[in-house]
Amino acid sequence: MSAGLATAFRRMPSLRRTLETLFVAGIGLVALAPIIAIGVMSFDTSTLSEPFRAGTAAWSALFADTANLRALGYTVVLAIRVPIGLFMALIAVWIIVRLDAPGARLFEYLFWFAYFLPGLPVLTGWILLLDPDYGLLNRLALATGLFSGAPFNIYSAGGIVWTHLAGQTVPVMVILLAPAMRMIDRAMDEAAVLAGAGAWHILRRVIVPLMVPALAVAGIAAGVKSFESFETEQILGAPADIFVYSNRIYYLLNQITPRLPEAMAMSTVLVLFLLAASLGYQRYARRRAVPPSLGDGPRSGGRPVYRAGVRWAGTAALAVYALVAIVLPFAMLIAGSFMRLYGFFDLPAPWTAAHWHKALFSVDFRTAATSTLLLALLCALPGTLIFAGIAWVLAGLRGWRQSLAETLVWLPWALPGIILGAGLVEIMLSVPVFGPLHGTFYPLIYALLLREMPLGVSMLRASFAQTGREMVDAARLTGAGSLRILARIVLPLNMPALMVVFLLIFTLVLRDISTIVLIAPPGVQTLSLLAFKHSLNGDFEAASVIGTVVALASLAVSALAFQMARRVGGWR
Amino acid sequence: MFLLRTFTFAALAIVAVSLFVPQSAAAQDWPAATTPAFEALLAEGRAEGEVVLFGDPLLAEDFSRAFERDTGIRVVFMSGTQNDKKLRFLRETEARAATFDVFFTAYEGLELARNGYLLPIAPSLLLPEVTDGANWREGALHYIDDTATYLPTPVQYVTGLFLVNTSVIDPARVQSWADLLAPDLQGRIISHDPRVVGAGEGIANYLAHVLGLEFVESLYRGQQVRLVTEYRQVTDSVARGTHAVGLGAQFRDIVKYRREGLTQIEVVTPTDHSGYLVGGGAVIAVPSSAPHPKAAMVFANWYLSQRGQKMHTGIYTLPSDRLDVTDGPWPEFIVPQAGVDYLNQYAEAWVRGTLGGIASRVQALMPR
Amino acid sequence: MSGAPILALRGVGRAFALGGERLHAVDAVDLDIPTGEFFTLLGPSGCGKTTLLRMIAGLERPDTGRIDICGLRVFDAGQGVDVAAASRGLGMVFQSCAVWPHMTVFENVAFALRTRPWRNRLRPAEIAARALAALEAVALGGIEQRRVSDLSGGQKQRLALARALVAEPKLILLDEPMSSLDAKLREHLRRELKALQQSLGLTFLLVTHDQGEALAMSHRVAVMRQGRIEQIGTPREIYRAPANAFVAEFIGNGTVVQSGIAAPVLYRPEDIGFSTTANPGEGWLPCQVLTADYSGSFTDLVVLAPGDVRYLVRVAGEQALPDGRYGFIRLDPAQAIRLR
Repeated sequence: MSAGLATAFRRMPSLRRTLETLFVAGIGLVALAPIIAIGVMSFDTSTLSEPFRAGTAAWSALFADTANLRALGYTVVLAIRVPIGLFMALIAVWIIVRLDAPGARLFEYLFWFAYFLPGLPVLTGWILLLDPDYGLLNRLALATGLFSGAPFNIYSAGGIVWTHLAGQTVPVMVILLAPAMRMIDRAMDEAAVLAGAGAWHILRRVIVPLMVPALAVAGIAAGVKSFESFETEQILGAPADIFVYSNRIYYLLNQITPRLPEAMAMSTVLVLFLLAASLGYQRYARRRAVPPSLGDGPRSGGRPVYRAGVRWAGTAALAVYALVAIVLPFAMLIAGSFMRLYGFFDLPAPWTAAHWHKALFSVDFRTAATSTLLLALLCALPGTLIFAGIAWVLAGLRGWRQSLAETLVWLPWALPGIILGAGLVEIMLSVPVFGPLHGTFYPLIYALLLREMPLGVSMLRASFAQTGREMVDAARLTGAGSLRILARIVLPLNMPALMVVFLLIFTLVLRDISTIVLIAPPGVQTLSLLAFKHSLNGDFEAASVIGTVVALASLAVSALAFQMARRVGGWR
Repeated sequence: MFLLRTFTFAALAIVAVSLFVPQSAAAQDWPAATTPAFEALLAEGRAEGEVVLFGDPLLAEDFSRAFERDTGIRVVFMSGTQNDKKLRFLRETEARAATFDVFFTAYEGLELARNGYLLPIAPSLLLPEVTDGANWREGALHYIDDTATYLPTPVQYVTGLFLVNTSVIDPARVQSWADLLAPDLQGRIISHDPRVVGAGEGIANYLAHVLGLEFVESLYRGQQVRLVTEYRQVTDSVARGTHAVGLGAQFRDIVKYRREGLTQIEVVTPTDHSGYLVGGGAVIAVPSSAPHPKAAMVFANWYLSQRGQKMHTGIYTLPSDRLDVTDGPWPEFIVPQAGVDYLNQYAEAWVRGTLGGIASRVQALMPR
Repeated sequence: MSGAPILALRGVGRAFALGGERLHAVDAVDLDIPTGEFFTLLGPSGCGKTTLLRMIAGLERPDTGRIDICGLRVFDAGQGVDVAAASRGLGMVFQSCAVWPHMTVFENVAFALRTRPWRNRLRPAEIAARALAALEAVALGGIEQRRVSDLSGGQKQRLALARALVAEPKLILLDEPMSSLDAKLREHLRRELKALQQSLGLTFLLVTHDQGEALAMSHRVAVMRQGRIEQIGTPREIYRAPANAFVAEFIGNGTVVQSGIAAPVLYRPEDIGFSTTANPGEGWLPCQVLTADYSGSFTDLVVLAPGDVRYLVRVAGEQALPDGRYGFIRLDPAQAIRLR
């Protein structure tokens, strides 16, 4: 589909080219600015109160310290969760979308819910379940008499991988893969079923090959992101002497005088990784000359393609997974929020509603809830539209401009929030033109959107590419301008993907602490900061309450969003 | 389009919220005694209208409201986690483009103070109750900087103590640091991880200073101390009896666990080296580029007065150095005892003199 | 059907890279279509007919050649002229209908009227009137507020037609508009389309692979193969006088007979006489009936005649067939179609 500026500037190819080149340059500026700042900072050897002095001290330190290399090694090992998660998510999405298993929609919501759950309280729940000394599941296992020692140890590589899988990796991938799999025509399954193929066979031979591009993008995205996660590794890894790459970055930032150049050098390495992965993927995508033929998606209202036995087996598998990986930790979270002391069941009166009362009926909660919601909407609504615009123009580009723009769009993905924020602060403070913007909302919104741009734009791009070409052609023939086609035809037809992108931005704002602290204007209080306040006070239980409330609120927002998407987009 | 409509709605709501400005009128009962110079400062501060405080979110509510009530100056609050706050503080101050007036800190500001990036606070302390040395422990308000000008630290409390579970070990057996090396304690000690910044690191550096690196090695490596990065796990594990001794536990956790009936956990002050003093992030710094410098100095006076210290220590459950702030909600074991010679980690001598030399060698000893 | 051509193509071509080779999807096509004509591009799938149609519409860019619509140059590869699709003043009906599922019937049709530039903007009442008129024209009046997802296949296709008509273009392009409909509906719509084309005096350019559709509806037909036009003519001309064996075999059925060095000839099945009467007379050849496919109004037979030639013969549906599966056929040389 040739789109974007195509309609308007057909007659003036050179003007069109120029505008396209300007667009690519603009994207480059937006995406690269903080990265360049970070790169430059990594070569700074000046001390406080000195101007910038170039040198490679930070880079030599990076390669000289064996701890860095070992951390890199652990990170790579722990990235095993990406292929595992990809596989689990693929199966889950397949059961939900293709098998149309009973209760499929409920399970899809459960994955969204798991994605919304607050990380730290859930992690504590897992510790309570899987601690080698007192974990409930370990005690249960020992009570059966089948084990001589505790079978689970959460303080291990396996423990780290599992908590990531259950809490983030699998849910995110389900969210990313589901729209892509929805686009595959149901006739594909029907034809294969009629040919006598079993469900598993169809998955392997028909569905997976069609999903390869989506799987590759999700894999690279999650792979790069796995280099940046830090909290779980810190809590679960330290007792086992496992330190990962981002632990090192945070260690450097944590010093009395943060060793910024070294942290920036380490982050630049992440950008280079992503660049390599992105170029590799583009090469692969180019070689794969023929895109998979995708239909108008599964038709609604038909009877299920697969046998009841297969579908119920799918439901059973999802139910077991959801019970272990989502319901169990959530139950712990809820229990914790009602306990005097999280995890101490044998106190004389272990239960109390005091934490809920304290967390919810305070002035700060209302203030924080309001400003968080506003900030989230302020980012997510225009952000979704901006990403859609970028994706729409990207779809109309050709040749080197397209591959360059696509690579540029991905680059911010590699940067941890705190590093991206630091780079941006650096720009605001050292480029005089931007000085007046420092301390306003603009850099904050820019930073938050930049963090979600890679995923948001590429999801929309993939979704747009699957919009029926003739639907767009028909609109172009009416003389509608590019913007109007985008607004009236393409966006409504892509509501599901738009909703997913909207929610991704929304939840990012709900969770973020670092970016907001680094560049928000004075006076912004968010729920994540409030939860942090409670944990500062040793009030871990109240922090769990906030986390739970945020998760439930997010779930409500997502349910509402999907309801709207269904109405507007005529989506099933 | 519904997206557009929702967006419009959100924009309207933001406008509506921003119109809501807290009303402030100065109260009459503060300060207890004043001076013309302070009244002039107060007038200038009020003319600036507001002060931007940058600290833990704990101070965003009652504490800030009390200041507004007493001075008629509005508080805008910024908060965040340790790292993020520190990074922003350092960068904005260094660039002389601060968006805040007062930063609550530990000793991050020392370098900035020496290089002229901070406003001197001492000359602007004008209230008699603040400047009168008789109101302060050891006869004067402490500063971190040797010049006693930039970084006042009105709170000092004791840390570096043992947490023991009396139902699994007799506390009499762990009275000194050397006792921790007893063979039967191998594998039974848990500590906040010295490999990340925090209390565990502070203890390790302290031990390296007072007992030497060999001791650090025989304790952490030889006794196979369990290292955890989540503070609460130290208290939790000792309370359950999984470990007998805990190092680097947060005293707030200890108080909370004991309050809920887990009285088997007890704090032991080691007899040979009785811990060290820290300031609990109660230090304040005012950047040279503060947008409301006069209001910031009014705040400094208020904060260091009895009223401000009562509010602050009440929220943090930390003992104030002010002698007229007593009987707060803090536990007895963190209050510095007269006559005990504590190592003061919130002092330029420690930060610039000792710490740099020790820290990297301690890190090198730790398993990685 | 008269006047200057509404559409003129000269040397229009388009090639795709396929692996290392270049595949000529459309190869230097020349074509003139006069105003008011119902013209059909007919060919097997992959012959380039849809690509040609999309290039005329401006949805794809030719590599070579030029295109005139209503006497205006809309594309010229040499001069760099390329008028945007929307400015070429034509309507199009797509194979997949491509009606917008998130809009009502009315909104689908009114969309084109609402996109006009500001100074030519229509008043809402006028938009409504014209949209309803277009819907009436395709017999969709009265259901304009329905959602598209509630329409049947035939209704969707008519809606697509109404959408193409509403801007009152002079030239309508139809890309296999009936391929997804059932046979009965297709026949019905065929007649409606033809009637509509005549009553509105529009020019229709239809793309199809269905020769029955092409013959039944068109004033003229162009048969395409591998990006080239093999023959242009009236349905009768291409049926009765196909330019070559490809056209002959693609248009209708028949039996090609090669006799000696002369050019091969084609016999249409309905042109071959068949009789069960024993030795009916001069020129009749005995034959063996191999298969008989009954289709109601006629029956198609495959017979084996002397010389081991198989002929396709069409007889009236009610004609009696031989008991012993033997009969006689007669080949009339006057009916033989000489192929080049």
